[in-house]
Amino acid sequence: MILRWRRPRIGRGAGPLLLCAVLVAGGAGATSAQVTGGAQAPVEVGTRAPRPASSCQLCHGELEFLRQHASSLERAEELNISDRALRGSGHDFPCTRCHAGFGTFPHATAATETRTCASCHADVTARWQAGAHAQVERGKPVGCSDCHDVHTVPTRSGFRAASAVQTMNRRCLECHETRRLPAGGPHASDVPCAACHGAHDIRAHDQAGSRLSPADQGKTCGACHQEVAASWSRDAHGRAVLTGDVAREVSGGAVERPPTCTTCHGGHALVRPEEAAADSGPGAACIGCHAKYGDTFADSYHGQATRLGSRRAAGCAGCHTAHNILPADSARSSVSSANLVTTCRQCHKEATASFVAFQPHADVHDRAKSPLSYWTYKFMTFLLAGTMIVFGVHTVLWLARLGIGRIVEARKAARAAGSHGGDA
Amino acid sequence: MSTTPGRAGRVPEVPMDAAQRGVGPFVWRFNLYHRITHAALMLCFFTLVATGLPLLFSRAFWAPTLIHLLGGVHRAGLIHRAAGGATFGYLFAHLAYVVVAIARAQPGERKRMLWGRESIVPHPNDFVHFAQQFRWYLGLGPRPNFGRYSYMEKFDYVAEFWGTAVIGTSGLLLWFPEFFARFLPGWAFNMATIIHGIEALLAAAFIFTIHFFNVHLRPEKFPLDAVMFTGRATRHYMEEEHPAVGDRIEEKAELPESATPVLDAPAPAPGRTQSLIAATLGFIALAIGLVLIGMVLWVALS
Repeated sequence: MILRWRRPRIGRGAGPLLLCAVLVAGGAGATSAQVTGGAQAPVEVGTRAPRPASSCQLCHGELEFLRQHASSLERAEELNISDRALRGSGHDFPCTRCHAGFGTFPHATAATETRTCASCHADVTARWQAGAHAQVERGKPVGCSDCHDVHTVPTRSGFRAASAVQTMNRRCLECHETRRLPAGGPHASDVPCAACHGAHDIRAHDQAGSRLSPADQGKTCGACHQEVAASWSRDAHGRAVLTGDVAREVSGGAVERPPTCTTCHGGHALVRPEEAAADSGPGAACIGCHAKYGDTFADSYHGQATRLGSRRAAGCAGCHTAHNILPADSARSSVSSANLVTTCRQCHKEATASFVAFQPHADVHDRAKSPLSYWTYKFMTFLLAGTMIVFGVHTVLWLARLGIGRIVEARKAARAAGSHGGDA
Repeated sequence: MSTTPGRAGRVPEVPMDAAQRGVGPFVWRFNLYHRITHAALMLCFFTLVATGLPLLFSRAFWAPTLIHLLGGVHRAGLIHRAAGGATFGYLFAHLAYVVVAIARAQPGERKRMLWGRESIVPHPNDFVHFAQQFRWYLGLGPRPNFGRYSYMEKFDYVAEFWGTAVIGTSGLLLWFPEFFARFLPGWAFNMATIIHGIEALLAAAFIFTIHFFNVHLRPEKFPLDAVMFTGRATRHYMEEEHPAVGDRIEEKAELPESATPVLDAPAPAPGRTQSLIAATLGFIALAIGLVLIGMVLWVALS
């Protein structure tokens, strides 16, 4: 057997845990090994020393041999763990570190001698036990080896590689197949499910302690989107969420919640705002709560154009920003009197103080708030209705006259013909 | 279209074009300039309505489809502004034409152009005609003795100026808000938005219902009056619709037929091809107008 030494690694291959004794696989070149023929490396169980090629390979690397000796073909394949598979993995250490009872040959029979994952990964196991996957309510718990291949588990840094992320995400989707991210979406290719849901203490978003709870979303999403999350936490929405004012009852018993990240961006849909469907327009997320402003916006040119698919005309965020939404009386607000000219100048380069006296949310039905719009609308509607009524009557009477006129004429003609006939 | 002589039936066959019905030679009613101006007006008006309507009714189910057909909001906006510019163009061209025509006219002719039964300028008599029309509706009197232009045609004509002034000015405000904000406060654009939309809706509703009825769809004329396309109408038509200028037509009746338009003078009958083109254009315009007003009514009634 070739003796191979690998570059010593600093730190233990981290990765997730080995589930207790699920598989009994490769043996180890262990200190107590009495297997002959293998050059024994000076390693001990539990050390962090690099892993030599093991004498376990003599049997567990030979499928043909295992087939002849195992109870079944499947069992033989389970037992067939090559050194190559472990090499470079997070568990690239002697077999006996986990399979402690198998250092001698013939092996001891009790499988219980294989160590549990928790023997090394105690902290992770504790977190897993607090999460949804350890709960048995819906059948048996989802254990370490249901997600992790215990022999080829990546190293801590290896978990961040794109291929490892995709492998792990595929594992999640095997059970959670309906939660697939739309292809081409901003998170679909390289963000691990665990980045938002947690790796081990996974909880549904509405369970207590979920990192996707309203109060924690800012932190969770903010791990990557720092600036956006920081800005949100200081705006009207973020403050309402973070100060605990998370819900208020509105008419009809409905409960309004201030928006967190997923309120506007969706959970798994994760639509980029600028890609929102053309017919709903960019303000669709806002209008759900701000219905009145949605209506007045829809009556303005901005609203009409955005509704019909324009992405140049201002949507809600065009003036109010997306993550620094503040009432107009707040100095930092984009629509405060101090900032309004700057905000309008994003599109209207020559906007002035006079220009911004425009009311983007004028309500033609609100005499108190928008008197000019109210009276203009009243007058124009009166003009429209008046003209159409006068000429509508003119038209209807014309039709009636010709209809009745024809009947009268036909009767006259008939009477004339009748009297003429009588005379004859 | 020319009279198709003869298939016997209860209803006699008449030309589709109301202006070609009845006996008598043809006379010139509109010159080439009138017809070109009206054609330009039609083209611009239909374009403006088709490109503006989806914005005004942006929540209607048909709005996204129509905008898509027009190539998107901003393309539709460009087309809308181009048609608006063209509207100012033919309006000013017409004003120039009027000024030149008045300047060139003989003093007696000038007076007739500007006032009285031959003028398009509104006249107190129009109110008398309006009242007479209602008396006729109620069977209390004969039909009014209309001059060259009935009060309905004068209303259309004046509304064109009024409408272009109101819709055009508010449109310019909305087109160049930053420029106009130098003189006007921002709320002027709130008013302009409302005025532009409702006045335009009034124009569209009026043209596609009242004008269509008065000119094309009322039983005397149904389904089409193409005099504005061919420029010619029979003497019978003129006596029915514009009896008060009968003497003017009589005066010129002895003149030779003129291929170039001389108002009231005898005209050659419109050719078959010309009639066909006029009818086709007329029906297309009627159809588009009725579809557009149907779209508005659908939204208004649902």
